[in-house]
Amino acid sequence: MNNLDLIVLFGTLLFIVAYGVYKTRGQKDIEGYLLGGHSMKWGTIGLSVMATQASAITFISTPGQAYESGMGFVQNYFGLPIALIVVSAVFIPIFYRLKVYTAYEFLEKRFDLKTRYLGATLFLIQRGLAAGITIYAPAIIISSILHWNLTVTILGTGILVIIYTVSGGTKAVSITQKQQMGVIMAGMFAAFFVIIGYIGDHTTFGGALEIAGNLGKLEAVNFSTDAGERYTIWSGLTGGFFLALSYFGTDQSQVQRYLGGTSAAESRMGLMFNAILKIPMQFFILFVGVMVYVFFIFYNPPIHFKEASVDIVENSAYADEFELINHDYAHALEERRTAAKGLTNYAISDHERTAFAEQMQVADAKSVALRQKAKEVILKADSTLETKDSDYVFLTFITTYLPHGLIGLLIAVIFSAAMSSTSSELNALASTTSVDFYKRAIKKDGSDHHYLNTSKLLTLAWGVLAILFAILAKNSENLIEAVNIIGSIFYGTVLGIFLVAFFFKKVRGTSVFIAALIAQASVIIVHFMTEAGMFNLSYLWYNLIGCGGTIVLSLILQGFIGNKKSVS
Amino acid sequence: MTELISERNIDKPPFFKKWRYLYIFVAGWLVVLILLFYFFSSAY
Repeated sequence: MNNLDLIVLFGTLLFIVAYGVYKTRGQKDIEGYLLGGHSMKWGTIGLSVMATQASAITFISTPGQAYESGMGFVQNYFGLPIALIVVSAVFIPIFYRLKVYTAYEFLEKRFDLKTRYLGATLFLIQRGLAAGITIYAPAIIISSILHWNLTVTILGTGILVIIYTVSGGTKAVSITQKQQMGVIMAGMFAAFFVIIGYIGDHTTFGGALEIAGNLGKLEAVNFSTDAGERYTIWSGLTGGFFLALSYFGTDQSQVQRYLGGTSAAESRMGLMFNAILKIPMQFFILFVGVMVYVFFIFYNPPIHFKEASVDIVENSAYADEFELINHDYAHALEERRTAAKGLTNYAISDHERTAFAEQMQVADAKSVALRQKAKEVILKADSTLETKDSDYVFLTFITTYLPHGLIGLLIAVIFSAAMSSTSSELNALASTTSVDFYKRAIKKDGSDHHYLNTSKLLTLAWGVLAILFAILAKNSENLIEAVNIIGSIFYGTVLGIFLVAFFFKKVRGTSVFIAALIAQASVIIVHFMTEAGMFNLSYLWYNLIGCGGTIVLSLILQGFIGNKKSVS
Repeated sequence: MTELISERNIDKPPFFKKWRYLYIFVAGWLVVLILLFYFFSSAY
């Protein structure tokens, strides 16, 4: 990065922070602070909902995921539009009618206080952990690639977010997210066209697609019924549906985004805006990752994208072994490049094309195997090192091949995404603590001004906690999955509670409370059994287990408790 | 439930006569996207 990049980066970030603080100065009441004074139109809500979900991890890990395993990850989002229809048709009218600040207030009105506390507590645990990861994830990668100090990077991101979130509350979060989404989309499109430009020196866009297709990178839909396969259309439609329904219907960081609308219609339209655009956006980001893969067929990629790990192995007793693998890798890349060039030469026969495709696939498999071997040698040099390097692919490309100015813009994209998600999370964590615990249990008769100041202090406190968690966090194998796994462990149970509330009117508080505790414990046990290798189950199914378990158990318990009461 | 239905009628969506039509459009859009992805995957 040079001075131009730094000017673009800091200019963009400081402008967004200053704009957010300026536009929301002088917040006077708690409704304005927590719900944005019900002043937001559907466009702002839609972008805010999208920006909350699209964290920095989305823009770092998703292209890396496509680089490693192709477009299949897009199936995870297939359940999202259906979930948003349910939230729009069922959840929003009830939340608006009851005039709630948080989703968990509804649980007390429908069941009892302990169920409200349970829902709010599960949210605080999973979102509190996720907030730390949201800051930590981009910081670890950016600091490693740009050789910045990790703690300073975490502190810088966290403090910028805290400034405007504490100052302007929900409205500041939403209006800064509009600017952040603008920066994000501009940056991603610019990166895409630069990649296509580079590839254009060697082949056409059609040729790039042919290469990617022959290497199995464009398989976006998988109809396999094997429950162990991580991404299939079935897990995407069912598990993805439950994950999205829990996230958009019961996670306060999202509920707060759409409760700030001028009317229920504006909130619903904001969600429909997402239902239409989210899948194409994810497809595009994954497609950028696939194009980076094609790009690295013509421009030699490093054998391992995590430079710090390569430095360690090159200065260890395993340097010679690593060098030998690197030599074979360069040879495999040359074979792959030659075959790819042959494949995209349109003056050849179908028979020759098939032969070139096979040669390219063999060379590609060889290069993948050598990358794996290199990881094993890295582990031999230092067994504590994290060898998964897919999160470093896209940023390595950005910092190595993009022109100056654009590098600064793309780093601003990553920080903007981190800030937009973190601000929503801090805002929601503070609202839940303030409304569901402080106002409900500690001080019931405070003034509006008192609750406003308390909410600001709580936002600051959660911000400091998130920063501390980020500083103390250890390396996670795959950042996007770490957040999704944490979400999936808790979301299903919370969703089950809400679905029972909406659709099973005979079930009372005690039944659903006990059912939720048992279901949550079961999901945690299943997760640890999966981690221990006792069986193979995709984490998306946790949502189904937690949700289904809560519903079925609460119905059984209600039958039992109901019968017992009528007998007595 | 009756209350909910009446609220839905008051809150009309832009571009569509009823929310139900917008929901059908969104579900149709999902089917179109899956088909497009499927044909895209098959083509290459």
